[in-house]
Amino acid sequence: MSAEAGNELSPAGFWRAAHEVERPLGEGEHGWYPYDLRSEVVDAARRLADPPAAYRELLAAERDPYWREILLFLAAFSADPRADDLLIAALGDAQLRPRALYLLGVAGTKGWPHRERDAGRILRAIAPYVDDSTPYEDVVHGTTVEVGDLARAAFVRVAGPDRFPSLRMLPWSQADFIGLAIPQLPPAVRGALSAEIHAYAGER
Amino acid sequence: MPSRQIEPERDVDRSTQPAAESLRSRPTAFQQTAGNAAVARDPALSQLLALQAGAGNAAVSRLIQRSPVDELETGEQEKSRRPIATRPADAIAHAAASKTGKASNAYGTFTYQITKNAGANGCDATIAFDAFAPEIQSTKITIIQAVRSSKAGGATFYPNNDTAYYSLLDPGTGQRTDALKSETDPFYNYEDKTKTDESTGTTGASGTTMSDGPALRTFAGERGQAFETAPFVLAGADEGEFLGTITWGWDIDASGTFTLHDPGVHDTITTGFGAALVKFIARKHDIAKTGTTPAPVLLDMPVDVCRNLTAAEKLAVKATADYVKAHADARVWIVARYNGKGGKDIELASALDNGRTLQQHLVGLGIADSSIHVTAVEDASVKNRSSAVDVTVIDT
Repeated sequence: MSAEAGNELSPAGFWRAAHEVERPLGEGEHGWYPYDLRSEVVDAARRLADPPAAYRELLAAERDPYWREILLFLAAFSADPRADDLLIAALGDAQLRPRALYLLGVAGTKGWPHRERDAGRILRAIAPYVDDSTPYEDVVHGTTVEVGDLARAAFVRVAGPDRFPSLRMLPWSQADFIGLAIPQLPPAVRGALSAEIHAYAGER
Repeated sequence: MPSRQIEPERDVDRSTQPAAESLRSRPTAFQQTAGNAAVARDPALSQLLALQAGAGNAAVSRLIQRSPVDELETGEQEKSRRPIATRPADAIAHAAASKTGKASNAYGTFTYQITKNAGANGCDATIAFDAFAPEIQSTKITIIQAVRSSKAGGATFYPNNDTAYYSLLDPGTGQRTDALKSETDPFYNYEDKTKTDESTGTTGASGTTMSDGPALRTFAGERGQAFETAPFVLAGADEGEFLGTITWGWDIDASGTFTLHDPGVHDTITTGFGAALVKFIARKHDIAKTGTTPAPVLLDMPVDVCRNLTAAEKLAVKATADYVKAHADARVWIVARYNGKGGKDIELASALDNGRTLQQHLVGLGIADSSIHVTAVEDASVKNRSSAVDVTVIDT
């Protein structure tokens, strides 16, 4: 995204424009694409001179968790490699961590940009949260997910699902779309997947 | 894409040209009355009889109408239908919460498994299509899918209530090409920019697969989704052809009862599907264009006369060619629309022929074949005996 000449928005101006859209982050209509961001917000973001810098600035000031997640989604829609820097930094914020994990995982999948990225760096950033049992209530769907499940799913997607045999224990709609769909991991799969992830991380 | 050998600037009236009349006037019993020797002496007739035996009278009809310009290549350039009697037997198991089966249309076999999802607010679906050989000649088949989501009273529902975006993809029926906002191609299981399969399926030389999990979870009450899923030949001799469709979906009615639609297979895409694709291409051009992206070009070409491009038409697409040659991520969509009043099959073939003529011209100007997509769709607004050929660049 880049600003059109003469049509530029400041970060504050962009944020005001975004807030004119009621509930811009909502449901996608596919299990593999469970979130959708309203086009008016995406269009307004195109008018930012430096979108990643604007999102970072706005994240530092915004307190509402719903709107903070919108900033993460916007960053993840960017092909700018700095988007990964922002998402990795967000892992340090407990409020942003679940969404940042999800968005680190989906990069390069259907509908998400392919960013130039060091996969090893992304995996090392995700790995510490694989066994995090903190519950997260999804701001769109209202469902509760373990942060660790979001980390497991993202790790598997980035490393490559074929490396993790325990995915075969899941229904195909969960296994095929691991890291894309909202994870629903039964305890047995959770444990097996964690073991495989730790083994894989240890080998690297 | 096969080579074409069109005689430069030669016009052939598809409806009155003598060779076609000659072929049309030959009785099917010719072989019986004149003997095999006569057939052997007449290669055109041999070709005709072989096609009739392999693909049926409809294919013969199309062959006759398209001669003689493509007389050596007809079998390569048009998909052929397999007669019902020689298709694999369907095997279908439809229950309330699960629809599984194998069902064939004229061009191949769909294998599907569609089940009510765990939340009872959508379904999980896997669909595979395997094209018949030798009827279909392809090196890559992908899938284009159209969807209509609905809410109370059957009114159209746009995901996340994003009317600003989705209304511009909607030709007025609510049915729209099923692609994400950030996508610049209509393919469900293939990313055109990187030329790779997506996480939602696979492409192959003679088959394609997809999986989906459509659902509407964040609002209650009456709602549903109806899908029209079409295998599409992306590369190969039959490039640009749709190989029929499978329709499927789910509903929750006003009383809260969940229903999976009975899947059905069909030989042609609906006009609504085609209209949605035309809107999609136009809209993606608008969204992705830069200051230098050439504007769409509309050519008016006949469907009853086979001819090469005129000098004016070549001039009209020159800016498009120059741009795409210089931009590796640009794609050209050539969509030839026809009204079908002169015969749907014949006009489809002729319109697609026009599109391929233009494609060949662009390839001749140095554009990679894989950067050009061509197809033809029915559109009642097109004037009689014409194809309106849209040439649109999408910056991926």
